[in-house]
Amino acid sequence: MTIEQNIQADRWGVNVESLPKFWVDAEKLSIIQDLMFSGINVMLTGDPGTGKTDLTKRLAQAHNLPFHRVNVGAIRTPRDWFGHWEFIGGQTVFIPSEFVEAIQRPGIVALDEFNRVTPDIHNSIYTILDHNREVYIEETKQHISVHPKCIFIATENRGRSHTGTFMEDTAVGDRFETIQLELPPVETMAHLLEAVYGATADQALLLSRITHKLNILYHEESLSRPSGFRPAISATALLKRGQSLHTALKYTFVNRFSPEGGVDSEQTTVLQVIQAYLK
Amino acid sequence: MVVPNQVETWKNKSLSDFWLTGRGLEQNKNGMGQPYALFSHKLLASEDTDAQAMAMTAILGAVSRVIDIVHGRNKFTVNFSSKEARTHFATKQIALSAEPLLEPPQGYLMPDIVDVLTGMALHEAAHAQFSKPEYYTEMPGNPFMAVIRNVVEDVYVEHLTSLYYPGYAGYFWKYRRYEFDLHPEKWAHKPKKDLMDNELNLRASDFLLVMRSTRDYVSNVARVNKVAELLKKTIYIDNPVRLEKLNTRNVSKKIYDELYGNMIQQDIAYSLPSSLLDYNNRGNHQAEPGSTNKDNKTNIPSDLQNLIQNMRQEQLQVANMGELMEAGLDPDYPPPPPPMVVFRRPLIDEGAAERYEQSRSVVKPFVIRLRNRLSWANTRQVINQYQLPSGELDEDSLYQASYSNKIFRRTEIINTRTRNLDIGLLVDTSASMVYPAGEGLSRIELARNLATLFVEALEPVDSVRTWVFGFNLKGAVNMTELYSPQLMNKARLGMTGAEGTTPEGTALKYAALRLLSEGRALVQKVLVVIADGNPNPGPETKLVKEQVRRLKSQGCKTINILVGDRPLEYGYQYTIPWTDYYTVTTEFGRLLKKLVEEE
Repeated sequence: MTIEQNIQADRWGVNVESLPKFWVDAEKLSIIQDLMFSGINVMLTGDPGTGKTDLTKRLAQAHNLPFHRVNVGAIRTPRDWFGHWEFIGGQTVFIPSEFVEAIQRPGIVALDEFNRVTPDIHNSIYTILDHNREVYIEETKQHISVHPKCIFIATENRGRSHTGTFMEDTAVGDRFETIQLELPPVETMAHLLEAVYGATADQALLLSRITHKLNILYHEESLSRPSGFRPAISATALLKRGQSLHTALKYTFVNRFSPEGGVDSEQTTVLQVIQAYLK
Repeated sequence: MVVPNQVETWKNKSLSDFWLTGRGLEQNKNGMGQPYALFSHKLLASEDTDAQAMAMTAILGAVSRVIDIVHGRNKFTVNFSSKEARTHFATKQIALSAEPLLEPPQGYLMPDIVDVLTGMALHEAAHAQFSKPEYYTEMPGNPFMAVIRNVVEDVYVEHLTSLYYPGYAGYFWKYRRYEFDLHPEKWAHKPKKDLMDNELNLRASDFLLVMRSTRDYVSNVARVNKVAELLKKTIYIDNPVRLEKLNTRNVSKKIYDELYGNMIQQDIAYSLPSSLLDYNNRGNHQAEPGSTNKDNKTNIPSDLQNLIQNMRQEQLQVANMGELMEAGLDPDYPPPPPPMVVFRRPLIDEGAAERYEQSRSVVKPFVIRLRNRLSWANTRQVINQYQLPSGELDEDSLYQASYSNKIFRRTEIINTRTRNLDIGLLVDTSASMVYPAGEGLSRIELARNLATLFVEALEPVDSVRTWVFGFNLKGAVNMTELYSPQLMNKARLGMTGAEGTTPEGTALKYAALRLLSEGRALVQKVLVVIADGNPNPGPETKLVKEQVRRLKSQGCKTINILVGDRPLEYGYQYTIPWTDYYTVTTEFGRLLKKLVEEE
C-alpha cells in the first residue's frame, strides 16, 4: 500500500477528539487539526514542558501520517534546508536533505524550535510556507512543489527567558496561526504522571500541584523560569528508582533554581511551595 | 481532619526551618544547604535601628512570600503593625504584631518566631480570602454571639487553607500555641459575682479554648464540649469545595443556640472579660493612635517602620548578603554588617526646582569660566604628516628627490579629536553637611551649588558626559542619582538633603562602578568627590584609600573638593580645599588638564 492509499484508508481530514496518553485542550486540538487539514501552517507556543514537540509527533501517529522532524536550531546557513555538498568518488556531489524529500510527500513536517536560528535562515523557505508552496533549488536546478497533503507545524519558545532564541520576522510569523499550549489541569497532569510515567496517585498529585504553583509564580514574576512537565517526569523517574520523595524533589524541582540570596533566593521560594503541599 | 501524629512533629520542630536553612529536603543532616539565612536576636536587640530594620525586612520578606504562594503575588502587603500600618482588608494590608520578635517567649528561637509570624499572616490572609463580606459588616446581636462568630470563622478559614495547602496547617497550630497556650491565665475564665453573667462568660471562654487551644483543652461544662464536637464535625471535612460553600453565619447561629439556648436576654447589656474583648479585636494589634503606652510592644516605632518600608519598596541591591548573614549570626564577628547599597532616583518635590534655581543664580558667573577651563578638550587639532610617499608636494623635502620618494606631506584638521570625558560627581549628603561652610552657607548648599556649577558648565559640551550621585548611610547606603545622561532633569539636583552618616568608601566604589559601566568605552573617567572630609570611621575610611588606588590603576582619576573645615588627609590623591568659586574653578581646570594630559 502506498502512503497515499494508506492515508485514503485512514480518512484524511477527520479530526480525532483526543490523543492517547496525552492532554491538550479539546478546543485547541480541534482547531489545530482543522488548520492543518486546511493547509494552514500551525505554530505551537507555550512554556517549556507543555508538550509542543510531543504533540506534533502524536498528531502524526493519530492520523497515521509520515512524520519528519527538522531541528531548526541546528541549521546554520539558509541553504542547509535543502542539502549539503559532499566529496564522493573524486567529485563534489550535492546531497539533498530529508526535508526536501519530506515536503514532497503527504505527512507532517515538524519545524522544531523554529526561532532558535537568526531570521535570515528562514528566508529560503518563505515560498514553501506561503501559498506558493514551492521552491527552486539552485544546486540541483530543480523546482520542488510541496505536496498538497504535507502539513507544517512549527514549535517555538517565546519570551525573555529563552536566551537562545531570536525575534522572528513578522513575515514568518504571518505564515503561521499560533496556538499556545498550556500545562494540563492539576488532576489531568496527575493522572498522566500516574498512567504514563508510573507514579503513585499521591506522588502524582503532589508533583502536579507543585508544578502548577511554580508555574503560576513564574507568570507572577516571582520566579525567573517556568516549570513544565519535565521536572515532574524526572522526579517520577527518581521515585521509581527507589529514591525518597524528598531527594527526588530536591534534585529535580529545587536544583533548577538558584540558591543565591539566601532567604530571598528562588530556591527558598521553591522550598516554601513544596512545603505547602507536603503532608 | 488533623492527624495526631502530624501535631507531634509540629510540636518539636520549627516548620520554617524547612526553607530558612535551605536544608528542608536534605536526607543527610550534615548536608550543606544554604547558609543560614536569617539573623540572630543580636541584630534585633541591638541599639542600631538599621540592623533591626534589616533583620525585620528579611523576616517580612520571607513571610510575605508564603502569603504570595497561597494567595497570589501582591494580593496582600504584609507589614509590622505601627500607628501607620493596620490590618485593613479593603486595602489588602496585613499588619503583624511585632511582639513575637521584640519580646520572644522563652525558648523561642528565630525559626519558631518566623513560624508564629507566618501563621499570623496566613490567618489574616485566610480571612481576607475566605471570609464573606457580611462577616465584617454585620453587627452580632450581643457580645457572646460576636465571640462565637469569630471562633467559627477562625476555625473555618484556617481549615480551608489547610485543605488547599496541607503543609501549611502546622503554621496555624504554631500561631495558636503562641496566642492561646503560652499564658493560660490570660484566657482562663475569671469567676464573676453575678451567677448568670459568670455562666455565660464561662461558656464563651471555654468554648474559645476548646476550639483554639493546642493542648486538647476539655471544658468542665459538658455542653461546651458537645457543642465544640458539633462544630468540629461541621467544619473539619475533607472537601474544600464543599467547605467553601458552608454558610458560617448559619453555623454560628446554630452553635450559639446550642451553647446558650435561651439563657441570654436581649435587653441586658452584657460585658465581656478583657480576654474575650481582646480576642474579638484580634487582627487589630495596633494601639489606638495617640496611645502613649510605652510598654506597647506590638507596635514598632515609626522610624523603624519607615526604614523597613524603604528597604522593602526600593529595589535593593544587596552588596554582600553572605557577609551580612555571617555578621548577624556570629556574635564574635567583629566588623558591622556591610551595608546594602540602594540606588534611588528621587521624585522631585515642590521645593527642588526652587533650590536648584537658587544654586544656579549663585554659580552663574562661574559657569562660562569653568567651561572655558575645560575648553582644551574641544580644540580642533591640526596634524601635519611629512615624508609620505604620496600626498601634497612638500617643497622642503624636495632636496631628497634624487634618492627618495618620500617627498609629500599631508595636513589634516581633525575636528572630532576632542578630549572625551566621563565625569562623575559624588556629593556627600550626610548629616554633617548641615554645618556651615562659611559665608552663611551650609556645606550641603555649597555642595549643591558646586554640583549645579558642574552640570551647567558641562551640559552643553558634547564630548563630556556627567553623572551626579548623592550618598549617605541611613538603613542602607543610599546612592541618590541626581543627574545622569538618562536622567537629565536638572531640578533633581535640588533634592540634596543632609541626613545619615558618611559611607564614603562604599559610595566611592559604587559610583565608580556606575561610571565605569555606563560611561563610554575607552573614554577618560574622572570622579569628583564633594565631601566635608568626615567619613565614617573604621572600614569606610580605609576603603576610600583602597578605592582611590584601585581606580587609579583602572585609569580613573579621583579629585576631592573639600567643603569642610577639617582638611584631613584620608586617601585622596588630589584635594582642592574650598575657598571661593573663582579659585576652585581655576584650580580644578588646571588640575584636570594636568591629570588628563599626563596620560
